[in-house]
Amino acid sequence: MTASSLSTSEITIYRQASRSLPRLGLRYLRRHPAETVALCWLILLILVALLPAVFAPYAPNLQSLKIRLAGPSSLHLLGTDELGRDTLTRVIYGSRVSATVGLLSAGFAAVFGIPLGLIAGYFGGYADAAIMRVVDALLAIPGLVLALGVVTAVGGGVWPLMLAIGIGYIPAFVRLTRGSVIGEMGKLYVQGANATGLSPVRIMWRHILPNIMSPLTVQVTVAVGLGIIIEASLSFLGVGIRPPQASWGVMLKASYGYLEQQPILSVIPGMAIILTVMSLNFLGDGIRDWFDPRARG
Amino acid sequence: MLAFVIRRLLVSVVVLFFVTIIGFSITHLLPGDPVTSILGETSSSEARVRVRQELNLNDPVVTQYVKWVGGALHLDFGKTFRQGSPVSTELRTRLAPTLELGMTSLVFSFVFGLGLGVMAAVKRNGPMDHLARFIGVIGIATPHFWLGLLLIVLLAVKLHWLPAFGYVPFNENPSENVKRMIMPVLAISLGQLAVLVRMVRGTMIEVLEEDYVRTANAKGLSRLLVLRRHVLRNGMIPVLTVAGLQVARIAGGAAVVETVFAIPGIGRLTAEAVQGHEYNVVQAVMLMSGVVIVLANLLVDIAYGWLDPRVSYS
Repeated sequence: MTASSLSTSEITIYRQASRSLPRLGLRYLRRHPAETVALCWLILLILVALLPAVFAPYAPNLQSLKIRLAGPSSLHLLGTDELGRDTLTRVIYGSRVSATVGLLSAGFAAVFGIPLGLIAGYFGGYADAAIMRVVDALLAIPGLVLALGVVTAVGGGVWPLMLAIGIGYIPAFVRLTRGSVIGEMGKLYVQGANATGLSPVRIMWRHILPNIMSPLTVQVTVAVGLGIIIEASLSFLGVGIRPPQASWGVMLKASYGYLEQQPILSVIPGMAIILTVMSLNFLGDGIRDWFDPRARG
Repeated sequence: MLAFVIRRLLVSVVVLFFVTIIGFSITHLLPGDPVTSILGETSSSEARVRVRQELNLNDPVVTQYVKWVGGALHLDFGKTFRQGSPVSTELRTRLAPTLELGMTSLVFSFVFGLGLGVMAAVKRNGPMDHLARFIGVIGIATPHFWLGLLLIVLLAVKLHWLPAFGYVPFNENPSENVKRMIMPVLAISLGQLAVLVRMVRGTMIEVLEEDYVRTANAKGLSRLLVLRRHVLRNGMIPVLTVAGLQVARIAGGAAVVETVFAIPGIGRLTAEAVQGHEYNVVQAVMLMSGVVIVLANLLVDIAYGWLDPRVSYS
């Protein structure tokens, strides 16, 4: 078949079908500069967090008291802290801890929240009522206060923080999953799956869950960002990550004592947090647009 | 309406019951021995026995829970380990600064969130809309306490406009009180402001496109009247639902912001209690914030049913 025998509309369809996913992705990014910048920052962050030794100019705990609280220079691009450690190096190593805590806590919340939301939405009735009252109760304790409670019992560190932050974010996943499931319940494919006598577990897991993945993915990006913020808050209060291990929150806590001598110490880790959380939110918006172009605001 | 209120009241009681379960189990059932974390690894056995006794740890779990809730109903949350003073007294002496900080932040974020959100929606792509979207993006990504640090560096250290730390009761020295409240209120409010501005802007844009608004405009009502009577009234309903959440966020934010600005409130008490392993204090704070937020949500629900009569019949 030659091109001349096709009508214009057929050519358009042909062209769209032949467009590969990477090319569509590139076109999408060209039209969304904010999402592009966000994606670049997150990719850089992941690389840096995975291979800190490659990117960091110094060792993370290398002290040299002669140059403590120095401003930016060619040797120390972002200056040094109260023990003469290189700030850029510590931000890089800190990204590892902050990103880990963010991802783990979001994962924890998703692993417990999504199944509970599926059960509540699918079965309704008493199961729904019971789950939702517990969720209401969890929501009634502010996330940070809840995290403080958990940390009192199990102490600081990466794994306790996963638990402390994750528990507080379970309600968001339960609510979102439950709402999405209820929206899907009336659809034909669910009724069809029911009619063929599939087990509820299989229907929830294999049929409903894949259809509600896009809002859940968006929620995960938001949860990672919130996890990073709460980690920073807890570490700032001195009950999260323990020094000398660097996290952005630990660095901010240390900088608190030197606000007058070296304000840049408190600016840098905060900028890292804001850029990362903003990027995650933009990424979430991008994912939502990508899967559901009608939702564009 | 009465049946609706009673139903919501009953649900609130159930939710509060679960709040007590969560508050209790987080400190009692999670791994980690409270006695060791209070006294440290190297403690005498007599001290351990005394602390176990004080925490009622020798009783069965259910008895411990009943004792705790029973005490809490009489506002008896036990004693602190360090000073041995009743936890409820500690809470009461720390209440005023937190209440002032929280209420001011709530009012501030609602007034500015509503105003900016409405202005942004009415004149889309205008300067106010850009400001609103900027705050909406930046505000939810900024940790409260970091904004606090930045404000201290800028307004106190560099410009010497405001004192950096501390708290002065309003009835002792009103002007000093206000000066020391400005930065903490700003630090707590930006996040809430961002959420509200997004919410208000989104809702208002939707409402502005409704048929009844076009009708009201077409029949020649003044712009202000349309906004006040038709747009705002309908746009308020979704905004109201986030009010309960706002209370929760502000309560959480207080813990860090009070520490940054050295304000002797409940938040700072909690942060110190976590460091000092004061279980009784942390539990009491969890429970009290739960009660406050459940009450706030109850009020919001009732207001919701009153604003939108359809709700109370469902």
